[in-house]
Amino acid sequence: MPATLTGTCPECETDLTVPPIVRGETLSCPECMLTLRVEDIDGERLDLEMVEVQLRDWGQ
Amino acid sequence: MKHRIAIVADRLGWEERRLIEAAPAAGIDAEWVNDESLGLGHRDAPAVRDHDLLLIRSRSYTRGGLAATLAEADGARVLNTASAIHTCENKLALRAVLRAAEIPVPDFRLVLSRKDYGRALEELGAPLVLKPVHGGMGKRVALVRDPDLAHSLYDYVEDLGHAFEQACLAEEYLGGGSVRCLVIGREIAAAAEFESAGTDWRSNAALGNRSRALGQDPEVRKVVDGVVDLLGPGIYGVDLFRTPDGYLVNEVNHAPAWRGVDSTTEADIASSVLRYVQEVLG
Repeated sequence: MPATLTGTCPECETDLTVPPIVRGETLSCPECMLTLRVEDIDGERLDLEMVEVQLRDWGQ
Repeated sequence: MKHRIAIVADRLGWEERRLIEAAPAAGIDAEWVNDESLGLGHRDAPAVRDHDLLLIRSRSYTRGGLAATLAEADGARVLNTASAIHTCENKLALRAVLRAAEIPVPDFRLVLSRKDYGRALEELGAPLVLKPVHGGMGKRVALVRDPDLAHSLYDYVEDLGHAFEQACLAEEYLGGGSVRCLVIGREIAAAAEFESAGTDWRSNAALGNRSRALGQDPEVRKVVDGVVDLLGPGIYGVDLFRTPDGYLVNEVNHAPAWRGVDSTTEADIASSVLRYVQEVLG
């Protein structure tokens, strides 16, 4: 796996570079603070989607 | 042949990442499957067709139980079972079946209205804990120490938009600590005592409170055995209250977090979960 992965925030279009991360994990955009989920990884490129910070019926 | 399992969740958290990292060494191919796009309802749904087992890790109480029910009905092997998830997802239903099985639980009342609430206050007295029937991670759990404040608090419950959010459970307050047992199969893989950290009376691991490891206490073992006999073997977070009369079961989480007990004990929970998955798959 590459040392870093890159992507673009779908909301504010900020270019992001992050340490290795896998499909399904989330990160916070440092610019607009939205929570983004990794939908797919193509080589070093992340496909990101905005998700709710927390669902109303979450529990653990 | 290498088994292929789906980790069903809306996103990967700390626990799911550990499972995916540990899977190859356990001879398992584990992949994340998004619980918001499973397309369940027929046997050719890829989540059912392409996996030997679905490990339900949805944080959503709504999605986890529904996905497990449909996948199981369509022939998939599911952990935890749909029956166990449905029993655990509603705190009140769980209390009722535990009590019917003579497993000790705190005294409680169902609160569906201000009248119910008033009666619970009279019968249980203050301090009293009011919490939603559905939910977790300590959210909206209130400690009512002062009867003068009690009805003002209920104003906020009445303002919630949906009847399912207004359904509450009132229970006696038993102190600020709890014992969290992480059960895998029938065994207690780790147990730790959580105490509130001072600024918040709640002791949930999700709220970042202090914890310490516990040995295998025979009293804890007996209560947990009763819970597992009722739900069937699986992966559970069993929360207990310690009282002078013994341990009481507070709740059972069907998709438990374990970062707290993992950091308190030497246990490698992810590997233990995967060994259990292999056992189930045979």
